[in-house]
Amino acid sequence: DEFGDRGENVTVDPSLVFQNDRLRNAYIALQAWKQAILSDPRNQTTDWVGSQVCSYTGVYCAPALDNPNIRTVAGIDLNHGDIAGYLPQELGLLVDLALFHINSNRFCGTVPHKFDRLKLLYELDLSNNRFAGKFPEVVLRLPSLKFLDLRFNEFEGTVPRELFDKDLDAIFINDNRFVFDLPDNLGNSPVSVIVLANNRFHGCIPASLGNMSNLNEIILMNNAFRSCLPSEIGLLKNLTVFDVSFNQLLGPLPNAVGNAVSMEQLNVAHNLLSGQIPASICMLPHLQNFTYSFNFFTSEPPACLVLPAFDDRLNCLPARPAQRPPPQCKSFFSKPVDCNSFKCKPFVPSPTPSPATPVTPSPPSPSTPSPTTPVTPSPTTPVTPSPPSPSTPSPFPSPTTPSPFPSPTTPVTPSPPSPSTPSPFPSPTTPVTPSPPSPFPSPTPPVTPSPPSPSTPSPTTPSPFPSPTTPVTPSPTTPVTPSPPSPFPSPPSFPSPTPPVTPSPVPSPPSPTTPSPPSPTTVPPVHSPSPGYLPPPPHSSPIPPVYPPQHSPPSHTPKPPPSNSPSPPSPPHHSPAQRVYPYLSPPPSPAPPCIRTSSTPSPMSTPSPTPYLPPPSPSPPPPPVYVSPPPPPPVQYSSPPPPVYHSPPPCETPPSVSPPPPPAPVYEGPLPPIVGLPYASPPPPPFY
Amino acid sequence: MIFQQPSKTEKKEENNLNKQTSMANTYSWLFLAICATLLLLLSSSPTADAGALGMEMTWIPSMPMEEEFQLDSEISRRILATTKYISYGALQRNTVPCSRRGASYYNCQPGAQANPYSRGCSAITRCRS
Repeated sequence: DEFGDRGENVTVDPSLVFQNDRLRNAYIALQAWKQAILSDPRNQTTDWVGSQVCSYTGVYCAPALDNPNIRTVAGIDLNHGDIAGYLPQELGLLVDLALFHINSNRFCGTVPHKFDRLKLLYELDLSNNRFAGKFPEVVLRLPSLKFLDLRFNEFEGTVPRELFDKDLDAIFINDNRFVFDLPDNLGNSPVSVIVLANNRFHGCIPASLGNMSNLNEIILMNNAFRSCLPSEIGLLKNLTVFDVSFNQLLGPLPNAVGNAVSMEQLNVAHNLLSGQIPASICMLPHLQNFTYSFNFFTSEPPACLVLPAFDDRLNCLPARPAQRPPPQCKSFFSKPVDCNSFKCKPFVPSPTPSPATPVTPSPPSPSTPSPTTPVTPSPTTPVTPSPPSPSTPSPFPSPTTPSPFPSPTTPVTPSPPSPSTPSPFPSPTTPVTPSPPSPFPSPTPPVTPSPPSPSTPSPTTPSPFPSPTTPVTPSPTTPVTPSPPSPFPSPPSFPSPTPPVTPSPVPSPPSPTTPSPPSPTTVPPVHSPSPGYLPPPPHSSPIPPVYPPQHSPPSHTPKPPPSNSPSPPSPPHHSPAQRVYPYLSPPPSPAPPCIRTSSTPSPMSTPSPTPYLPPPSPSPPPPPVYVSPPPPPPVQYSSPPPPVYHSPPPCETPPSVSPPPPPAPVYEGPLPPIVGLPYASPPPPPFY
Repeated sequence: MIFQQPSKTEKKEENNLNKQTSMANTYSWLFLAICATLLLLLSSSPTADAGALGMEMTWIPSMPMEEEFQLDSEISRRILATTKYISYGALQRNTVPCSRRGASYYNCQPGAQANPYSRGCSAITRCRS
């Protein structure tokens, strides 16, 4: 068809009688699929004959959800079938399908676009096949999808950011050929498990990771991530597995990781991390295995030595065995790491708290605080008019707008989830809720630069009463954007500052105004109560690492578009990076070209090599454009080697029906690295 | 270390015994036999321990065409009992969260094949047999 999907011409025998139209459509779909199958060494589709489709092997029927009186095909399960062929578009006729499992087969091509008709599809398991091409975007249009497994295929290119806006529970895309940066909206994904291992992702590990409150397990092992670890990992209270081994992570291991109280398996080995191992991590209550070998750590608290399993080899730890030679450590430390140089996007709390924000201001507006609210925006607006002139009219309608604003705020709340870019939307949503913050965000960027900072104290000087109000207003306004989200992350990190909700906005102002902290620091303590100021000091310590990235956002904002445009040249740029870290890079093999639709029926009768040469489908052409150079031999081989299993054999193998190799290997790949107790065998006693 | 000391002690004692009577040789042989037995036991324990840890995986290995529900159920239940992390299991290519063909990965129970629409859990990381 127009998408390049392939189908089959299925003629229904008039003598066949079906229970209902759905089973008739299922018959058409399955017969089309049977014709698209080139090899079935276990003869599983031999019984795909006749109108009794519910008796076909691998086909599972159940009463339809919308009509219990109608029996329909609810599941297709051909796991470990070793069947070769492709997926015809007629499979879209199975509109009641809830599960589609075809792990360990030899299907090639892509996912038909007609799959978007499967509105009830809950589990899509295409793992361990020979699919190729770009990410199958049709899966983004499956409304009921919860389980997505594309691992061990030949998909390439980028992972669309829309994937992380879907309501999924599991994402398995490891062992493919995905490249480029992870979308910064990764944190929007509500999955309980996500495995991205053994690809070629590079760039930053998104700080939005901190928003994945449902996350239990995440494996980013063996990619080319090159950044510092976001401290927001500590916000994940349900995280049990965190594996970022075999990457190029630099900088320190954040102390905040010690707040991930459910952590059981922590693996940061084979990176370029340095500094000291935080004691808070080794004191995690459920930590079973902590592997931090092959890094450049210089200090290790005693608590780490009593963990059930740990590995600290090949670091720069004094008085520990099997460490790096001193010259190697000295050479590494001669180049200090600047986490800001990676220009990773700063952490932005999830838009969930933003709808809570509009609820909060609505009650105070009708009550006595309502006069305070207009007082707050009024000094804010005068500060605002100085940078932008259009904001001048906003102070006048501000007292009137608070009442109509809450109503438009409510509908605005649902709109953020609908857009695919929730990361920028939550920030405009929060300012949209309160009228003063909405004009302030535009001046916020200019306030951040040094020129606007002297303008801020100038309105402070005019009068003492408005001066404390003015500095309090702009400082809380700037944090008003982060302050509603800040209490959400701050409670998990600091239970003590949790009760003083009011002082939470107060401490946030000094941290964002790091360039001008002396003046606002002095004024707030005089104006605000001392107990309210006490929490700011401990809170300010974690805030600085979050706000310094705020400077990078303005510089990072223009960079995303240029990074997207040179995406084709970035693969060649990535190849040298891959050469820098040649170890464990998967062997690049050309995408297997699939057989043309017209030639499919002929190979069933006479599988001749001649029709296979001309039939390259339009989908294979794009993959051959992507050819990565062969990586150099690995430098080091470690104890926890994650073997990369790719199936380079092209789809030409399926036509060779004679050699159908069954998937004999049962246990492959790495398990979590476990260091057993060392048993020193004593020398045998001398015999006389 | 623990065994080196008795070894030295045994050596000294053996020298003394050699100078006295031949009964000492019999005693040293008994001691050697006991040491060998202990060594064998100790050497086997890490192997068993490693094996037990190695069994920690959530995904089921390949079980093609196992039509016997009883055996399938038994093996499936046994494997699931040792499941721990579904993410590490996903690093192997031919494993699936549930070996029951036709059953939802979210409802790996006997008879679940009869209705692929039924699910017993909402988070795959917390699904247990």
